[in-house]
Amino acid sequence: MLFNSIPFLIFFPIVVLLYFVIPQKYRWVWLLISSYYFYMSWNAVYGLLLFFSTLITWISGRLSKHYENNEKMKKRVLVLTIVVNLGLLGYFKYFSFMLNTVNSLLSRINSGLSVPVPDILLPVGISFFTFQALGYAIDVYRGKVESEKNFFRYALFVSFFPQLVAGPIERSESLLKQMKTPTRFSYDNLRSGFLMMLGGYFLKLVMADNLAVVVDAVYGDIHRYPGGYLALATVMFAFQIYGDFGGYSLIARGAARIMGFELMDNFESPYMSRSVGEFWRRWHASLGKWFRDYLYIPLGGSRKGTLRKYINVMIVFLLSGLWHGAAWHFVVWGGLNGLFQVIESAAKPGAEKLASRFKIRTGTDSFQILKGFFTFAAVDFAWLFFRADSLRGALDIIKSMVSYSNYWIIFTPEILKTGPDEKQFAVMLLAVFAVLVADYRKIKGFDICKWVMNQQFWFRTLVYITLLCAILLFGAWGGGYSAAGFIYFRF
Amino acid sequence: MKGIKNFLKIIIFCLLTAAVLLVLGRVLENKASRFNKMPLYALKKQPDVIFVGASRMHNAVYPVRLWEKYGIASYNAASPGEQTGTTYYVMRQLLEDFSPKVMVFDLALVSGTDEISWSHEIGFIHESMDFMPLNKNKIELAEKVAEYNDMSPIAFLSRIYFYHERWKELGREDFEEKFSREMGAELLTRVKRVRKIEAAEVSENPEALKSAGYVYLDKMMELCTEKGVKLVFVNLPYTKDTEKKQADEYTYMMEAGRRGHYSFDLLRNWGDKAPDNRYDFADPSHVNAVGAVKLTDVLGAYLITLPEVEDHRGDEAYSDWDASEADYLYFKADCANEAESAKDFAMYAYGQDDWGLKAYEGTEGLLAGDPEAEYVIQGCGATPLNASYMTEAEREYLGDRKYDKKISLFIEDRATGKILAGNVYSPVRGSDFEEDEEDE
Repeated sequence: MLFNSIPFLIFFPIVVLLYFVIPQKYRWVWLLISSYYFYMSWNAVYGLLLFFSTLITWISGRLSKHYENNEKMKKRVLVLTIVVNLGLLGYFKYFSFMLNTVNSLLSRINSGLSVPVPDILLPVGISFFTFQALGYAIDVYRGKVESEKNFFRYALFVSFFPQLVAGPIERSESLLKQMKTPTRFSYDNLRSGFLMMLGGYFLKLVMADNLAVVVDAVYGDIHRYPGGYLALATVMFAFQIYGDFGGYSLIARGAARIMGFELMDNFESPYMSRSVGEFWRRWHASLGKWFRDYLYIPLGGSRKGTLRKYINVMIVFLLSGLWHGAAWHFVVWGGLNGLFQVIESAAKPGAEKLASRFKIRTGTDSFQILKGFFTFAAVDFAWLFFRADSLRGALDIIKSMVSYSNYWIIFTPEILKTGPDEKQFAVMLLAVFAVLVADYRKIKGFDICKWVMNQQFWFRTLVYITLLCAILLFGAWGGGYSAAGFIYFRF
Repeated sequence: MKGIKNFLKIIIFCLLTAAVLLVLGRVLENKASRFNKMPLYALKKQPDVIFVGASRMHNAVYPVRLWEKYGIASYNAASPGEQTGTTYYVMRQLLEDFSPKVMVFDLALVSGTDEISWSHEIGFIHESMDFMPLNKNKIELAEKVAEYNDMSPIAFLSRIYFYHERWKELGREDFEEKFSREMGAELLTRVKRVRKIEAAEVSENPEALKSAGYVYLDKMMELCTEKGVKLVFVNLPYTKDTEKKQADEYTYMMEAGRRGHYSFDLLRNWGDKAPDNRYDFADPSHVNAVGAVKLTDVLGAYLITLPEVEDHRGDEAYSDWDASEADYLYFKADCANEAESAKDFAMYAYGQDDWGLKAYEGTEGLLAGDPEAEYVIQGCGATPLNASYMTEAEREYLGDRKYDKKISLFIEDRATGKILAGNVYSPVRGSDFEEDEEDE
């Protein structure tokens, strides 16, 4: 059940209505049932996998508590939990990839052998709930959170439907704690949550899905479109994926808030970043924090010297690439993001010296904008590998972009050959512009959502209805449009 | 207290949103369905006869002419691209809203079909059903067409869902309430030479009653029987008819008779009003204005013989049809004034016995040069076509338009001599009408 589908628009109000009608004591039970229904609407069998992962990590938590004075046993339990959970993730997500890689190698050495590759259906959101559940098991092991006694309440923490399939990857210390606290209906939560949901739908349907028309057309036929189109589509993809994933996260946060739960802010004006490192603190923050807490720091973080720090960064980002998709182009994408950060870090002292030597005023807006521009260029270059169908495809795109000279074509009506008409292009550009302005104002301390919330009822109503109309009119949805899945659902 | 205030705010917000969405849906929707059907709902007196079916019916039968010639109070509720199953649901809706005595259905899209088709032309489906209120009929129909097209039924139930992308093509007309001035029909001016229609010697084909295509015919007959309405099956001309199709149609007509309904075999009963394959068709499936006038006359002559159908001319209760007739003349004159060719101009004048049509080259009276226009003009029974000289009033009517070495056409009221329409065209020598190569 996608957020941008009719079933969800029916499901959600019913869940919310009954949630507040049911006595407080039993609300979490209703949410648990709803969450499993939400998840199993994709495929009922997936529910078993979710249940199994939940059960393993809950038992792990209980055993950690049981062996709290036996460090050795605690560690064994945790290792077993990690192995089983990552084993499941590995089987569903990476097994076919590994076999394909083996086949590719066998074919290169002309062995004449090949391994049969099973057709494994990737359960929706498996990477998200596996990481969330593992985070709990590790936190209990570390003694950061108490082991949850009630299995079903814990099951709700793992399966909470607003963030189940594409995050934010929540921490038990925050979400599980909230689930133990009775929630009341709050008008303020309703209005702000609803505004967040509208904002999310705007990002997804108006910005991302309209941009997707051009991006999909160009990336779907890279040999037909010359370099200028490919460059434009790559820039558009940066905003498409932001609208897509940022939109999902905002809908998730809004839906959770309406029911009285606070989820972490997964996107904080990422394209306003002035370094790739900053970008990764602002983009998909919950995953970044997960990797930081459960991988980077245990690897030694920056505590074991500069070289080790760089190696750790590269490990984290290569694995992050693999987490995003079982294909080499995702690994390269992750590697590039890691590499950019290593370069930034290594070049920082030299750059500071240069700036001081040439008396460059690095605090000026113009310098910051320039830094922002270069950061965007680096991040977007990496996105190219993310969006391409394969590593070979990505390299072909780069080759085409480098060898192409007539970039002005993208400013002519020729661009309309990619699908949308002039009016749709205008909508896309306006949507991107509006989002950038809102993000810019946000980093300057002006949160447009908060500002709307502080206005009079009539003004707020006007904003809601205007936003709703913009989504309905300019969004890619409805007749002839099949609800495009959120990009991050496949991870 | 605060709780009640907040609750009221939520209610006000929901109501406002609903109102905005309602208005938005109305603005965005394609107006064709309302354009064609709403005049029927505005009639003070219900029609005796309602025509249903697809575009062939929509373009072939002129209710205003039926009124003028036979006093039959009718309405053409047919819709382009409407498949038989959809017509059944439209019929169900119409029979809930009205109590006609007769419903006329063209068998065109039924015969020869091996499976029930609901049309892949989503726009046509909307044109057929948008006028329907959200009720059981509409929901059932939406489910059928949605399943056939592998779509969500909501695409056929919600205006915003289907039409939201129409914001790109909204024009001034989307903010105006415009309705059909032809009582649901639509006059075509296109001319295409088609194959001559031959009525084959046919007998009943029992297999036709087992075909999927018959399912909804059966339902239509059942529905009309239940409502006490007579159903008339007709076979409007289709120049690509096969012998099997004619046999199937014949079978359905016979079956209608056996079940207490009527049928009228146009192919074998039009006598000297048979449509001319050279001039009376817009394409192989549709007659143009000339063909439509002929078919309307033949059908009218049959319908008025039915015991259920009366001549209501002079009956004050049916004044809506008198008003429509008067408005129809203005409508046709307006269309003639905006016609793009001499032939189109003449088409609008065709069938109006009270009108005279004059043609000039420069200021000299003559027949328009192209054969179609001549055919149509002659068919109009126009006033002297080539013996007059352009009058001062006619020159004044043309105003600044240059008429030297051009063809000028005028429609005038025969009784009063008042000029109703006039336009200037470049001379056409030879013919500009299309030939249907496949048919030749």
